[in-house]
Amino acid sequence: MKCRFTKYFANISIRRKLMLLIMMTCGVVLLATTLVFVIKDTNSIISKQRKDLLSLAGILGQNVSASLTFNDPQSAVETMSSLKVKSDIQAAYILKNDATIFSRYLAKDVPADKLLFEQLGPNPDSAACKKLLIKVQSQSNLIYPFSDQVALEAPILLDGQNIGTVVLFADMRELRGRLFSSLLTAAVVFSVAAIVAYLLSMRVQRIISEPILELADAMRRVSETKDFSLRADKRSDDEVGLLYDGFNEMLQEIEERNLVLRQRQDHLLELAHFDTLTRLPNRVLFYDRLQQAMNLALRTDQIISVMFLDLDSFKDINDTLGHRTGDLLLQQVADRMELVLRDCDTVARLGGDEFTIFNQNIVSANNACAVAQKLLDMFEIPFCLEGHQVYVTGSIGVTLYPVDGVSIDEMLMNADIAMYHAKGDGKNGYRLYNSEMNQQTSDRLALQHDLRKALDLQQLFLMYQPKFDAFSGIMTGVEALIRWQHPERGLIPPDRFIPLAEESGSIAAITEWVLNTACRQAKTWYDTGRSSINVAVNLSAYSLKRNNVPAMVQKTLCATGLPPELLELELTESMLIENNQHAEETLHDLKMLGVSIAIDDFGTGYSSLSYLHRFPIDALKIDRSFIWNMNRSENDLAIVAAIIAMARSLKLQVIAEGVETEEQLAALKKCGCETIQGYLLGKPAMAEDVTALLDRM
Amino acid sequence: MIRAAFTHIPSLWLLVLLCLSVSALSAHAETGEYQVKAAMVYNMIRFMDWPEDALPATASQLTICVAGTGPLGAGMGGLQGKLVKGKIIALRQLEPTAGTTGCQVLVMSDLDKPATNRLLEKSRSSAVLTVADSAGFARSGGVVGFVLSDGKVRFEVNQVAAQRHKIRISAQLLKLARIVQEAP
Repeated sequence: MKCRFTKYFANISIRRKLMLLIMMTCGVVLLATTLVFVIKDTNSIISKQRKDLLSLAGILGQNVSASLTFNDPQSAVETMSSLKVKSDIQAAYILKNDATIFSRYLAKDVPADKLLFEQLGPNPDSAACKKLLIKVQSQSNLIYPFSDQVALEAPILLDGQNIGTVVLFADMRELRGRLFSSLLTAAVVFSVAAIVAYLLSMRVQRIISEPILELADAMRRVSETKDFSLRADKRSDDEVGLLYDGFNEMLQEIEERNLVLRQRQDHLLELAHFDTLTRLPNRVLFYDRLQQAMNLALRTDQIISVMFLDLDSFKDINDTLGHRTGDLLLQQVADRMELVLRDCDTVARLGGDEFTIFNQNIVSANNACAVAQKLLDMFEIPFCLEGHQVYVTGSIGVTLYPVDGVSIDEMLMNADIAMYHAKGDGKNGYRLYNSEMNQQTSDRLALQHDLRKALDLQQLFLMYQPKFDAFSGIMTGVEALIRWQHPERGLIPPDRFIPLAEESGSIAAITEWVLNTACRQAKTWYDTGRSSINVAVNLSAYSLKRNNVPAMVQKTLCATGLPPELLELELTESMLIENNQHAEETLHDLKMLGVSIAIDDFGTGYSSLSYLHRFPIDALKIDRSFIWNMNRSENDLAIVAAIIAMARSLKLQVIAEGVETEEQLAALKKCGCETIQGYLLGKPAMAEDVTALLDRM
Repeated sequence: MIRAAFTHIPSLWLLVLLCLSVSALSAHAETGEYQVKAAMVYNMIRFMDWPEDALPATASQLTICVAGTGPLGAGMGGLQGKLVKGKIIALRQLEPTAGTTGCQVLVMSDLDKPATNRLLEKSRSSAVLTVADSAGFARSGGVVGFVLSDGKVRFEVNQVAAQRHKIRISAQLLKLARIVQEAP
């Protein structure tokens, strides 16, 4: 019960609690006051009644004392008859000392059964009367406010002697009526006071409850709107005011934290969606945007172009200039791309030096090609990286949605394939994807897979093409040429599988194997007395850049015991131009080992000839295209003559490749070319055949 | 209020007084008329007041003088030594010729008319309650006179005589008495 009240009290509103509290307090005070008032009033009424009755009894006793003394009941009756003016007196008795009734007075209309002495009969005996008198005596000290009747006795004294007793019976109903009216007054006063207290408490409770309710309201608003910038207006400086302050401070705190949180969230969002290095969208955001663009394009019958851009030889820049420079380059490339592209296009960095681009509503393949060309054009201006002027190019694969694929992954994969084709076509270009590329790519992948095992399966072998002295006709050396005997595809030329080996990284092992095999063969020829036969080995650009060629060469020379002057390394011009610093050092290191260095395919590459004296070069090999055309084109003949003349003045050996006719040989001799290589004098042959040829000579 | 009601009561008492009867006293007539009369004298004293100089509060005695040798005087003998008003009643036989000095009550028993008048004359200005049972005693100048009416003992009171003797009589007593006027 108590628990239920506590629970009820705890759950009612503060308004009600306060009102209840005020009303309860007022109620208790009012009740106490009213009770005191009623009790006091009752007491005063009763005590006055008692006093009045006692004095009446005293006067009556005095007035009948003579009657009693002179034993004259008649005169006593007459005396007592005057009591009828007192309407509340029901009966009066004068008792003698022996308690017998001397005289009596009975008011009209009072039934005898209500009066004790009348119940005894007309002439009661002394003993019965005494008993009644004792009863009255015991009652006369107390007056009960709610009894109908009060009995009271008083002695009759004469001359200091007790000569009898007066007994009065008074009706209490009138008194009770007065008590009730006083109670009624009290109740009315109580009710009015309670109503006034209620009205007052309504106002008073508001002073306390309103700020609290307002605070609760503010709190509700904050939680509903999630607007933490709201503040509650303080009304007072009391404890509720403190509550307001605390609430506002809390909001302030939450607001500040929210701000920090939002900033962090934004940062995280950026991290999640943007590439930290270039600030371009990352894969996640690119996929998301492209997916939306694709959905829209599908509905509106538009065409999207998806491009894959890969920087050419980015790895070289990282390796030679450092990763920091590589990062700078990526940033600059990103900046330039954003300038080139429209706002509605998206360029993203997927990782490394791979960028993806999509252009919405491209309308036709021509437009896509125009965009790709614009992207390529931006590489024409060199990048300035920490003081270095660096020329970089890129290769782009272009696909069209929905022509070339239906999913993002498919589009990107095809763009990637097209990009590889662009790279395969000499880089710094773009290629539109077509479905055949896919087939070629699978071929390439299969071939690459086979190549990895070719070394172990001994499918690779070397052929040697002899070089002759133009004037004496003596074989002076051989060029080692690698061949791959594929079990299914037959003989595969090196220009098909060397790029694959470079891509897969197996080029290092292949280079080492070629060096080893060629040197061992040369040593064999050297040991068998064919001392002047040197062997030339082609170095791929990839090997020169990435592998420690000088160490590899030294190791091979040591292992085979071949004199270094019998080994010639052939390089292309472009390999020197692309990373001249590194190349220069490498070449000098090689030169220190005692090997000679030849420039292969001379004349096809860069027109700059400045490298010729910067690099420690021993020989030039004139590109076969000049040799083939020298008898048909005056220009080519002039070039060949010029190359030979220049080489001679620079004290470089000159080798003419691809000599197939006597006319060519004659022309070369005329120009003064020393060494001839070509089908006219000797095709590439197996080592045994070369040995046999040597023996014949 | 009750008190207020009773302030009007004295006038009522006067009304009652006129038709007063002492019928209850008749019961005592057989036991001895003079004992009853002596008891009545005794009771009357209780409802009367004497002036301070005649009966000082410090006095230990109240003297009842008896003149004459009649039965009334003899009946007074029973009062000897009784307490009234806190004093002891003393009886004194008075010679008809003697003065009434020292008497608070003078009972004249069977005195002839001249002796009665002489005693009344002698005590005229002193505070003495004169009592006799001869007919017309109150009317002829006494204060209280006993009469027999319908065989019952009753008493007459001469208020003028009482005033003359400076005796104050309680209204209670007067209510029971028959008031008589003094004969001129």
